[in-house]
Amino acid sequence: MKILTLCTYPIKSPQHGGQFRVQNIVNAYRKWGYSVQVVGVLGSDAYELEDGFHEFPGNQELSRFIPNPFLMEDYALGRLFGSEDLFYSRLKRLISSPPDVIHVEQPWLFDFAARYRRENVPNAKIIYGSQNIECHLKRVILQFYFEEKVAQQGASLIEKVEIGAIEGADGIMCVSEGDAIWTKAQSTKPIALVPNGVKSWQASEAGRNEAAIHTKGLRYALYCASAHPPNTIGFFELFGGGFGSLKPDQKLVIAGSAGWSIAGDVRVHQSPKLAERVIPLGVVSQPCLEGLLDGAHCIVLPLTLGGGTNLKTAEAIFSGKYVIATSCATRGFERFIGSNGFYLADSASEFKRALRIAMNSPVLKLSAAEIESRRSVLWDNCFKEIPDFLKLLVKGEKK
Amino acid sequence: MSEFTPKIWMNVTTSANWHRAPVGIVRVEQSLCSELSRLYGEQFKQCVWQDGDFNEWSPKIVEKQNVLKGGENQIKEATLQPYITPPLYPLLSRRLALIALAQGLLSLAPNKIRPYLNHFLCSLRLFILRMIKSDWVVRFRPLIRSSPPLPLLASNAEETQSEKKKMKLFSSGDVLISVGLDWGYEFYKEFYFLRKEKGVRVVTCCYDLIPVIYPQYCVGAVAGIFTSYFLEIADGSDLILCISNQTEKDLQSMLHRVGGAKPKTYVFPLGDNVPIADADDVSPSVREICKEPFILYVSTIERRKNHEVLYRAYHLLCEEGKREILPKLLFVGMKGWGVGDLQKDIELDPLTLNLIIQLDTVTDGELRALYEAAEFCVYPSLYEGWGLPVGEALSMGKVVLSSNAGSLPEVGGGLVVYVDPWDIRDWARKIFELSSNATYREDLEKKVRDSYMTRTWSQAALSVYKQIQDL
Repeated sequence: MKILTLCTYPIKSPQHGGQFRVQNIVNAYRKWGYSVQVVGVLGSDAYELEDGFHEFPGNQELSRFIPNPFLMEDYALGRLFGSEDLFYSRLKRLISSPPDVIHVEQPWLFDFAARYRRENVPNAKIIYGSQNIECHLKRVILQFYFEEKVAQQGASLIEKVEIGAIEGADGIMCVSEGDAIWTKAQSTKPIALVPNGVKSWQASEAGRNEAAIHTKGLRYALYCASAHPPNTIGFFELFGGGFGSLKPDQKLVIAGSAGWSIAGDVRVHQSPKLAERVIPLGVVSQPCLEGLLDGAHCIVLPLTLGGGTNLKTAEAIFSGKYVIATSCATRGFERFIGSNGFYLADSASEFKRALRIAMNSPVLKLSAAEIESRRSVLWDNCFKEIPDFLKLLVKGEKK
Repeated sequence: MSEFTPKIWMNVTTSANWHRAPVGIVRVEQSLCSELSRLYGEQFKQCVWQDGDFNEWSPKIVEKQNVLKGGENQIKEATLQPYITPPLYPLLSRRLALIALAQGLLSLAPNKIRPYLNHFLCSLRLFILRMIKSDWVVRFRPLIRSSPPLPLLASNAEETQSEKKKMKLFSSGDVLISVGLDWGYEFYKEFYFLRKEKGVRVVTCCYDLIPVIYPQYCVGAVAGIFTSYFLEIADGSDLILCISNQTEKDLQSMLHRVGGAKPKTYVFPLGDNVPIADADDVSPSVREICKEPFILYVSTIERRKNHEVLYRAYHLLCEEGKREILPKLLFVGMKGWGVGDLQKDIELDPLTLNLIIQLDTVTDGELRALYEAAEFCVYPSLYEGWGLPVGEALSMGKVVLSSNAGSLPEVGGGLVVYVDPWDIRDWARKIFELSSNATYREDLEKKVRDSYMTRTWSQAALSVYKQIQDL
């Protein structure tokens, strides 16, 4: 079976959650013996071009579909490649052979997929891979930058695309229970729950050493996140207004591009003690990240926005460390609430207090059963519904 | 083998750097120091923060300094001791001094060149830090100084040579009591490490959280500075003394909100006995004031203290034609910030002209004389961590008309007449009632005299002493 995967970011060297998710889904497809081609359009000029991808078309092209494409690039890009013949053809030319299944990750390229199927492979099945309730998330992000009217208009456009993808697909892979409930309300199409997971890792000696250079032997909490706006918004919502969670010889290490965003944001200096306690590392190598996870005393997930499941939550759970997460960050991992070492905290005060408690507790020791439970977040376990789901779609077999 | 006796160290940096008449916190530090010294005897020591480390502070040095200020002994003392140049305070460590210099340079630089200067200074940082840690200064001192440096604080003038020497003053088990204006110094950041690495037990004091809760009543954006300070001492203290239940509640609430440590706290009563002083220590101008009836308000003159409500109440009463019945209104205290307009109103308002008077600083004897002569006392503050003048007035047997905000009701309980600090008309009503109805005022006064239990500094120190023993 040939599977065409469509997305708006390269996946060979993943940096953010969406890239990791697609990369792991593609790897799983291949592991199960399917032939997979990944094709797409770069959703930003910050991405490196890789085989099968069309370069970012630029804001001038995108502005034909929306006056100000800022934060709406994905929407405009979908319109451009779905409806403009020139761009449609360019993307189509990148597809090497007609697929049996088209997996569209996120709704942006769904119009392209639907047209491609209609014109070229009418028997192919389309899977819509949902990573979020996109219209809800987009509205909140736009509210931070624009007036309510603009946010509302943007969200409406996204909702239209999203509902179109849900209705047009033959099956939908939802990232969380919440996502699945919302999707079921829009459509009767078959749904598979495919939560985000994590790849097993073991920190190397070199990685530990590199991490130790940054952390100087101090006890630290770790926040791994990209510069995606919700990661910064949640951070300041929960750590603003004074940060008393850490003792003078404890630190909060921020790995990932969120570190740079946070370090350059004036709000880090407006919350007393926050700037003093933070070590903003920015993007680090994978071995260093593993070393940081290995040496962390606890991992924080201060997210207040987002409809999907957070890959970093899976990473935190698998690390075997204390985890302090909001309900938002726990979406898809609700079964861990109340488990040993897992703190759920939604308000700033609760979050800060939970962090202090965790940081002053002895190193977390998990029982064999608890370790096994935490291993359920590995990708293999997250993907267990996919094979039957594919069979159901392609052959009409019952699960 | 003799048994190890831990020392009780009192950090008197604030008092050592204070060159005016003691007020508020300075008085607390000095009173506690004096009483604890009596209670602990030889075990009790004093220290000051200087050049990035704590150094023992001998009261004899203070006495010598005082002697040097004047009197017959000046010449005699001066021949025995080298002249002690009063330094510009607060003194900074070399590192901080360099930072301050750099900040000064940056601030004075024109906007255009500031980023380049900043870059240049940042590039020098490592070099300078390395230089500070080396003995560069010591080796080159003879070349850069033609004469030996003047001793700043007698034997404490020796510069700390290395990090290893830091905090050598303390031994494990010692107690460090620090209740001064600590947020103005760097030393409070060492408390956590003193506890953790040296085993020193640290006792600090929280006077109020006004800069955090009501930053609008303070100069500049101080909320952040004070939040940082309280977070730091929460981790750095074995015990935080609080001067009222309200302050304790405010502190705990703030620490809870921001995820701070929850150290042990203890509410200790501030002494409110007005010092007994020489009756001759009263100036003619104060004697003159005491000849006529007046209402007394003892407090720094600043926005939070709400002198404005009294002026407006007086304005209303004068407008109602009650000027002749009103006693004078006397403000005793230094002029603070944010009251320029009020001062101008008082100066120009023809209705209240010459009815409201102000005394900047008074001696202990004058304060006592004023309390004794006052018709009654007022305290309309918008928020307080305690309210010492209310206690002082009650201890002098005076009726007090006080705001009901913050900790103020804790001071005098049911013996005080309370008014909402925002309600001008109610202040006017109550002031007029107390001024015009002598029987009513005397009845209240009798109640105060019969019931108010004066809190002494000895009691305050004893309660702190007991807490320290329990650490």
